Amino acid sequence: MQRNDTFARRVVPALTLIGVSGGLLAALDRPSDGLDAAVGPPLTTGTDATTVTIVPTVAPGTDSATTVTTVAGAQNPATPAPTAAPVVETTVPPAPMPVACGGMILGPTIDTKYGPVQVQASVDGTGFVCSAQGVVWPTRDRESVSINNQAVPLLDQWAGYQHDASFTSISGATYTSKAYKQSLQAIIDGARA
Amino acid sequence: MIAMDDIAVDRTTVTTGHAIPAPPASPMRLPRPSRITDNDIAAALAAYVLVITGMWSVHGGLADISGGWASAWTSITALSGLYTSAVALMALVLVARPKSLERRFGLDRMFVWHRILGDSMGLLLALHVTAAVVAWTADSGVKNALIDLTGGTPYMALATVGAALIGVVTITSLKAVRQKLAYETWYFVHMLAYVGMAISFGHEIYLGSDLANDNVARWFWVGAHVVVVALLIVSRWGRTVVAFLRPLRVSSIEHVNHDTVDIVVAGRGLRAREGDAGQFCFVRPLASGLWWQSHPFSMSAAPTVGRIRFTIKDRGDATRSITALKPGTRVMVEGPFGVVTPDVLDGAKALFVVGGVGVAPVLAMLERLGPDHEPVVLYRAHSEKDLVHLDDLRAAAERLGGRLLTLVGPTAKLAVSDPFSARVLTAAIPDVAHRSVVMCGPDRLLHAARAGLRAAGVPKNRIHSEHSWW
Repeated sequence: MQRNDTFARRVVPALTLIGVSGGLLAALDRPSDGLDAAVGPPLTTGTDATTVTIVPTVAPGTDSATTVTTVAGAQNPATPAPTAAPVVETTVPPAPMPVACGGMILGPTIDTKYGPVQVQASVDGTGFVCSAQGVVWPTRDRESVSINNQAVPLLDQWAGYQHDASFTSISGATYTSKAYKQSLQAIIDGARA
Repeated sequence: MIAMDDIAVDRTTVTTGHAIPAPPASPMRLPRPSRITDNDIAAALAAYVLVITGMWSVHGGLADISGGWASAWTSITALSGLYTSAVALMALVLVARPKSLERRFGLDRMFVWHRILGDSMGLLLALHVTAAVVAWTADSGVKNALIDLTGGTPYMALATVGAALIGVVTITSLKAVRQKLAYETWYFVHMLAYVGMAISFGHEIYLGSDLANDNVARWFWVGAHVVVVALLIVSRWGRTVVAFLRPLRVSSIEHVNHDTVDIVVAGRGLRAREGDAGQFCFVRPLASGLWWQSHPFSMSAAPTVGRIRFTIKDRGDATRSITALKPGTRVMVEGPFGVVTPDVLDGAKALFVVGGVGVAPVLAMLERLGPDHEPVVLYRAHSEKDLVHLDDLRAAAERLGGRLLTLVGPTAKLAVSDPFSARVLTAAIPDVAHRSVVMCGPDRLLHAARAGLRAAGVPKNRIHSEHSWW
């Protein structure tokens, strides 16, 4: 019994576990660089797509009333509108077009653990979302800034693609997603009433 | 007082019991009593729990519980995560063996608490992982949840591997598994808990919603970890390093019966120590094939500034190699530890219940008693040849107006069916109910003796037992 009782024998299981852990770590560690771009809605690029160009007149972060120009029409996507800098260009499928999109309405501010979130959106009388935009999002720390700088544009795209607030949350930005949807839903509910 | 440390040098002075012993070497400085009170500990624990729960609640954890399925589970993930680490830190404090706690509770109790905390941590970790998977699944589907939680998010691969390591450590510490493993195999695997905790730390700070956004909470958390690591370095590993840098040497080793030896270790490293009779030390011989094993042994003589004596029985395992050590071998000795010292008798008359090699701490304690204690030593062994230091015990007990009772033979052959029944105890020791009792021996003997003593009217708080160290 004493013969077999050596240090090497006793330490092997622990060393094996360390090795396995190292291997496992190498296999698992593939952090996405922030959010995955693929979580955005599918963009249709066909020539018959309808481009809606929205020019927000208010910088994100301010909560003053907004006036928004909505240009809807069959423009040629190959030659995007050569407008000024703060232009968010969104391509939406041609399918059901709203009868009449209203002006941008500011939704309620929703508080999250990481800070407030507020959305403005243009909706028609039935609650159909023509477009939406996050205007306030958490910026308390670097992590929030880096997450939300990616997440909020994606959420804007999703809202414009789905035309309602039923799209899935963006993983990695759960809190912002939920608050965004909540603020947007409030706008929709307001328009329906 | 008999200078037991001189026995190994010249046993003839003691075996007769009449020779005048040499003047005793100056005894080791006695350990100072711990100044920590139960109130201190209760207050510290309450504050700790309050701060952690408060932290979670202030950040909206409590409100989130009622805020829908995913948010409730996210909140549970946060709280269980905080508590997993909080409990782990407490478990580490216990094994760091800080003197203030050790003096008050004793290492054996601290190890038991460490195990309870370890089990709790395992359960909390399981809850944390489950809650995280549920919360993320509710939000983004099982597949995405698993990808995100195992490596898709920064620091999560480390946390996953860390959790796996902690899981292995917890499972190998379950009684059923641990009994199947050699002590050192278990121990080296157990050390991986440090690795697991260290590599999980990143995700706590980066993703823990209570820590990532709150500077105060984050510094509290980092601070708590720094304090525990510092305690481990100073109190736990620092002592090991000192024991290595200033090792003692085996100065004599001799057989006291067929399978038991007295080992005396000496060295200057002892001068700075504090210790008392009845305590034990961790012994790691720096000899080929033994340096990686450290085992606790009770001192069998009151420690002096120059030497410590152990009485070690060859039980066929690592003890066999130790009983075969050569004089001059360097030995790392950590300690002494232990709370069962002559102080626990509190001046009352003493009864020692001894089983087998449990005689060691009793030999040491008898040296430190005065005539007031009139010690009765009840020595149980399976056969005559297992009795060691019988003459020393008898001499020491009789010198103090006490006596030695031996109880030898297999239990089945004893004259009485239960030698530790209240009736037998009272008949043998009429004033048993008024004595303070110290028991040392195998667990079975401790259980039987405790039951009998309680029935014989000894109050619970006057029965002291030391976990049977080797």
